[in-house]
Amino acid sequence: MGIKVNLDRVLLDRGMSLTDLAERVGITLANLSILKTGKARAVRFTTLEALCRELNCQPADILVYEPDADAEPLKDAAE
Amino acid sequence: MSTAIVTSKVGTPLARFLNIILLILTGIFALTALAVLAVGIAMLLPGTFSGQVFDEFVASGVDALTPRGMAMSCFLAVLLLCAYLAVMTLLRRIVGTLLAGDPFVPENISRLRRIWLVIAAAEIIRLVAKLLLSLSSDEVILDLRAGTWFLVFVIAALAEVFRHGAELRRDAELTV
Repeated sequence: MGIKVNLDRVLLDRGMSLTDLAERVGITLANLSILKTGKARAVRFTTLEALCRELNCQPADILVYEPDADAEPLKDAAE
Repeated sequence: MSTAIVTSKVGTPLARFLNIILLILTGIFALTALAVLAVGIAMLLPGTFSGQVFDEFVASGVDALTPRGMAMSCFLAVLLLCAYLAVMTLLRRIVGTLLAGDPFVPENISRLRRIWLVIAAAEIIRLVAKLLLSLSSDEVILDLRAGTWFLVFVIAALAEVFRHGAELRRDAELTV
């Protein structure tokens, strides 16, 4: 998948457990685990907002785009 | 904040009614298949019994050339009844998932595909058998049933709809 979720690193920096975060954000631990392991297909803005609020970070701190190995590069806009 | 998928454990009244109807029809079809199979086997038994039964059927208006021919017709009918029994079993399983509140499961996609495949196969067998039986007479009969083939296409389309529904369900499940 192209979007990687960096919850582990952010949780470690904040000294927070996954269970605590799930409780604060208001989603189940199972759903948060789905997000953390990269199995989620979509994230609601409300969930992303709650995550950033509780972790005191920006979306870019949690979500990182990593292109797939066989992905074609984007054409230059000037072309 | 995140909404979980809530499934109802009680199906609609129509689904429950359909389940009962399918159960009754399954029983009727099974008993009919057994009875027809018994007649077919009886036709192959040597002796006066098969002759008596054959004469009774001819007297009642059933068009049959010989006891052996009638036996073949019976076995063909049993084959078709078994096909429809398989369809009803698959339908009952689909209705079962509907009653459980979650019909968009991957298993229902394969069940619907099997249903239209079985109906199409049964119809082809019936068509070929009737054509072959009619070759021995003066007129050749090609008994195409447009309604049955329309049903096959409708179920095939529904199977694709279910596939898409299952995909949407999966997306919703994995939306955090």
